[in-house]
Amino acid sequence: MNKLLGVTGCPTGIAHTFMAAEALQQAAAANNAQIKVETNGAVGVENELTAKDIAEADCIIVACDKNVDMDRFNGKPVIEVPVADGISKADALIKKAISGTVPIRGGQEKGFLEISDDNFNGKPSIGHEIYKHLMAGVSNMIPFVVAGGVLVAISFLWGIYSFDPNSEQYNATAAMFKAVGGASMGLMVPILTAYIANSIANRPGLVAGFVAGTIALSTGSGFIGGILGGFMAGYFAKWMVKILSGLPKQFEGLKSIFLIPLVTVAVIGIIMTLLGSPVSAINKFMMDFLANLQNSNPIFLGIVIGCMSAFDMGGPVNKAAYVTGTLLLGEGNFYFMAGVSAACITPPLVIAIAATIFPNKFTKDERAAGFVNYILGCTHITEGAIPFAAKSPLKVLPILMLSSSISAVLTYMMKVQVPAPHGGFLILALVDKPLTWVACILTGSIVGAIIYGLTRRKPL
Amino acid sequence: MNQIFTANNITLNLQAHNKTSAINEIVDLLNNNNILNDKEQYKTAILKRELESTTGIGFGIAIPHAKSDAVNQAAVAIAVSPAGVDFESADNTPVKIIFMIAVPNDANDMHLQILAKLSRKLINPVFRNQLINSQSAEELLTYLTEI
Repeated sequence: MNKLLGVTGCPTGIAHTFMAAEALQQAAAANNAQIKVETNGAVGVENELTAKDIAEADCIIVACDKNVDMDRFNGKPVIEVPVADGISKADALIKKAISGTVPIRGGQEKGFLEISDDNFNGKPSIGHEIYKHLMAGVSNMIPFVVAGGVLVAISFLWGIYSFDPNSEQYNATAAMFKAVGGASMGLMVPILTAYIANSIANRPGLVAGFVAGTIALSTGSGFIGGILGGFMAGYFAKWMVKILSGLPKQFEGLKSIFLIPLVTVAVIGIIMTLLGSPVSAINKFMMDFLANLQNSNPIFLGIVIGCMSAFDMGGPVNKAAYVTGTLLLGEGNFYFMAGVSAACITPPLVIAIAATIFPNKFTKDERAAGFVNYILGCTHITEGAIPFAAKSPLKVLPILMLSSSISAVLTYMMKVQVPAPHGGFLILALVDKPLTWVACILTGSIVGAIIYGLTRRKPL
Repeated sequence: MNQIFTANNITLNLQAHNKTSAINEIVDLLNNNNILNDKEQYKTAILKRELESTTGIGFGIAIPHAKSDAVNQAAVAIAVSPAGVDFESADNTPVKIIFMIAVPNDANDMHLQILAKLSRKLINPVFRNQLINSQSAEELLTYLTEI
């Protein structure tokens, strides 16, 4: 059954608020859906939605003629209509809500760890803001990396030098794949930069962001430069919009298509050019440092990556490791990602294998969920392990972190190369030592599964 | 139990055919029954709410409403229009029954709760038809006392 939420409210809060609430409840019942409706009436907010309600909801219908806190619905499908529509078109709204076609409200979804904390009501912290903008850039960038990375990797099937006309391996088709993939990969830094800026300042930020990203690429300041440029472009554009908001309405058009783009591009572009060589030195140092680490100290790196990936499974810490891997992929380092992928694939497999070899320690439902974790694990969806970890995080998370670390350490020691940032075992054909890699991951997963299975109590 | 609905604030034969004159007519009714202490101020509040979005919410119902110091005591005027009023409704259908709600700024929660309940009941088509087809103010009141 679909779980829906509603929010109704009108400026006076006497009549429509409650009519809309009633209409939505009746329409939901008629459509066999569950709904909880928060009323923002004259008597105050009644039946208030909790963070848990929102986390579990399939869709949220906001029928309001007054302002209500909308940010709490970020990352969820949200329908926004006037309160009158909530009354007269309740049935259509419910049907739309359960159709699964409602667009997701922008902004960062509250992570798994935050949802479990019902008391989290404070304003988003600066750290959270920065994380949100960074992730907006990353999530726009990833499709380019996936497409580009896989195409480049396909070209390697003809041989690693198949793109080079001077090489014996040369193949025209391979060269074309590599060129197309390369074009997509080449957009990584500009897209990352532009969408960080876009997340901060919307369209005005996008322009300066793209330019800053392109300069970061051409001056060699790479991802560090791009991230820096994205934040500068975004906040500068936001500030420009703010100080120019006092201008008379007649200048509106002039402002948005001339003044703001010109000034932001000039200022940010010049700063980025000047920052080019110092930042590129830092960028190079970091990339070299990480590359050295994976050669000189694979065990240490593997443990760090393993613990990060399994710590919050899809949350900010996991993403930090994942993003670093993706960025290094763009720099042509295929080793680093191999460990990250291994560490991300391991937690669901631990659950799945444990449910298979210790069936009597799991309930029927858990065994079914455990089986699904085979599929999730093989396709690099770490989040599959969350429901199991959530039941007793203090016990399960250390086990998962240990198993992910084993997988990552082995992967780094075996020097496996994974050229695509996602896809799990679906991209096995592109991995240079596929069997070794799978063996590394299975080793970590089986060790984890045995510990997890042995430490679990039998269900009542 | 509820002094919000009284027979003298009910008319079964609204004369007006458009929104403005309908509002004028019902405001006069409330004013004549000493619900209001400042007719113009109350009307301004009603019109201000209409500007934000029409309270003609469809199904032949309109609920203009205001919370204002110009109101002496909470009351709901009920006007049935056999011919129908063009209330610029969301679904473009003529309005058959208008509930004009007057609430003082210091209204107590009980009044607001009753209005909330009335609003919820109006979604029910059977209840609406009973109201619209009432033969007398007294009959109409009996349906409302069930709230």
